[in-house]
Amino acid sequence: MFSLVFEQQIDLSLVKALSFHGVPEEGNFRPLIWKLLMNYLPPKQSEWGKILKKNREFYWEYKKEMLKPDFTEIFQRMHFSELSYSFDDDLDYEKLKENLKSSELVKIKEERNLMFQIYKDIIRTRTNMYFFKEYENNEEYLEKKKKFQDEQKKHFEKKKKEFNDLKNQTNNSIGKNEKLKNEKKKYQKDKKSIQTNIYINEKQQTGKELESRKEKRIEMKTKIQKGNKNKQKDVNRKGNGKKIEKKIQKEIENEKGKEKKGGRGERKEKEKGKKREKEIENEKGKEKKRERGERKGEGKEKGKDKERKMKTGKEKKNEKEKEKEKEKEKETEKEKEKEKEKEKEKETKTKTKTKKKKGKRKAIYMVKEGNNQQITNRLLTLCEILFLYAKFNPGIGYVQGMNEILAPIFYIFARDKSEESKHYEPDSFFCFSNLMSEINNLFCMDIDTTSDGINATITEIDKTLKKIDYKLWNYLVTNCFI
Amino acid sequence: MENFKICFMGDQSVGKTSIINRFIYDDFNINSQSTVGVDFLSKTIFVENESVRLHLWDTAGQERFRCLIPSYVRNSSLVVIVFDITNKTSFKSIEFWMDTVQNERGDDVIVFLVGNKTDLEDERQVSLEKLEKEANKNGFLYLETSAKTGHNVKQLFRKIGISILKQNKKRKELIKPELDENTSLMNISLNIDPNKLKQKEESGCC
Repeated sequence: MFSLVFEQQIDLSLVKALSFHGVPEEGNFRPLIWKLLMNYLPPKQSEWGKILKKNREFYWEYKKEMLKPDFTEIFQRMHFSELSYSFDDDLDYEKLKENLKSSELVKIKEERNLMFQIYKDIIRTRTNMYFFKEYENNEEYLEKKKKFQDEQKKHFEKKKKEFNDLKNQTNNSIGKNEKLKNEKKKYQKDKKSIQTNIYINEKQQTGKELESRKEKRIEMKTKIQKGNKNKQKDVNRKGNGKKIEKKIQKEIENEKGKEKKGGRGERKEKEKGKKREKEIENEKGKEKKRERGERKGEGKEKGKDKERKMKTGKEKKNEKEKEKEKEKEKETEKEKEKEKEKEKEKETKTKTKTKKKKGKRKAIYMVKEGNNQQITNRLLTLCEILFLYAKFNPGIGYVQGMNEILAPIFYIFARDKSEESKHYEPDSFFCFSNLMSEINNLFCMDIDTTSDGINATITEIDKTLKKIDYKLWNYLVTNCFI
Repeated sequence: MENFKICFMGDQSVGKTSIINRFIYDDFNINSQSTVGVDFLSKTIFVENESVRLHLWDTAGQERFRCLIPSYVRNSSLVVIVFDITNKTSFKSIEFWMDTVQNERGDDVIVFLVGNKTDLEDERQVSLEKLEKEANKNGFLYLETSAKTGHNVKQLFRKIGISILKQNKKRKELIKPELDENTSLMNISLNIDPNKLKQKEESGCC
């Protein structure tokens, strides 16, 4: 079989027949034979050099034209925002809004939608394989992540200020009726109004239940910052004493997992002395606390200031305060709902936006839980290839499942031991598009119901399986509900 | 109902997409943008009491996309080469398109030659005599259309449907002998190197 590859004119039908049961991994023939079978390389060996050169040059040109310079950054932003990504929250997007026409905006929205779809699928491809998990320049990555998250916080803070202004106006109208009540009650209401503002703002970021608990934590952390030595105890009490739901626990675990991964990278760089490990562990602990503090501190600038004043004198009576706060928050939740109803009537426009966002985020949240890994350069190139393919085939676009077809091709070409592994990116793009041109029918919406579509092929497979291997078919039908 | 893939090829701004748009939407857009990559559209037509579904692959004419096209030619059962009557260079490049078709499929495919933009008869640069010579040389089926006025577009697709159905019937008659050839091919491959096949099994497969 291998002797076939060295002939000037390769007989493709023979290669197909021989490689029917798979190409052996030894000898590094697999990438070459795959390229032959996917018609990327012509059977005449003398033509290979020309075609490879041409196609590779074309690929880089495509990339320059179709991909904007901030293409990879957008994917990274999607990853950093941990799937709470929305187009309105994207910082650059707002800058663009001011300068562009509506028709151009629609195009950009479509592109972002496509990219986000690809991103969601790419993160789930072959998570078991170390090949796709690897990452380079660990420190740079972490720095970028921190920068982005800081920017995001600033952005959200701006938004919250705007919300607060709006709601203070509405609250003033309500407040006229309440002037008769005591000053203490007023003070509480101010608190509540701020909390409701925060509450509504954070709907866009996370679920309702998470927010109220985050608020509790933030309050606790402000206290912790004051009392340095008692930090760890407080954290434990808070974690145990307040009934945190499973979702929050999962999130915390995710955070820990990420930090541990980062920590491993640090360990490799440094030597494995016991003392140093202890230092790293200490750093981890600090980072955890910092991150929590940052997260909780996002929306609550004004609230913090007032709360601090309240609590400076009462550090010793923490436990009693906790109980009181719980009761207050229960009451506030009921009142929040009433206030929301009033606000909804006034702000119908904002409602529609929030509703849309809710729908998106529910779907997104499922992915969030299993997503601990960092987005790697290899995954980013996968994104680029899929994006290019979707751009060049507007009739088909991107369909779920393409990532699974591309991944093995990419894997084989990138691990090629010969010099051609440098060009794995263009090679895998052209092989993928050649392969897809043969199985287009299965990915096209219009053809789905016809005799060439995916429904018909599935029923055909069902029939042939029944003929060939009745036992297997019977098992699948009874146990797997095919 | 049978499905057939049809590939549209030709130089840039010759009117491939506007012919397809005229056929499917009965519409013409003067300011249509150049296509990127390969677009897809499909429609069913009724020819000789049979319904046929046509999958139309509309390729881009620009040079930088030419390396994407061959794989679509390989899988299509009919090829339409379009050129512009008022543009000589687009007529000359028919040879190039013919070469790509023959590289992929040999003489196995039906080829339609379509001269577009008959509404601009005054600016015609390709004479009818030349066209007859070209068509007779390669055995093309030739038609002149105008996507702007809709002249001959419906007839073009009706002819495509008829010729595709004819080809399909011929193929069905030829299927049985082809099957025998395939079995013999498998025997040849087994006879050539049975030892290496065994080695494969030992070394493990992907």
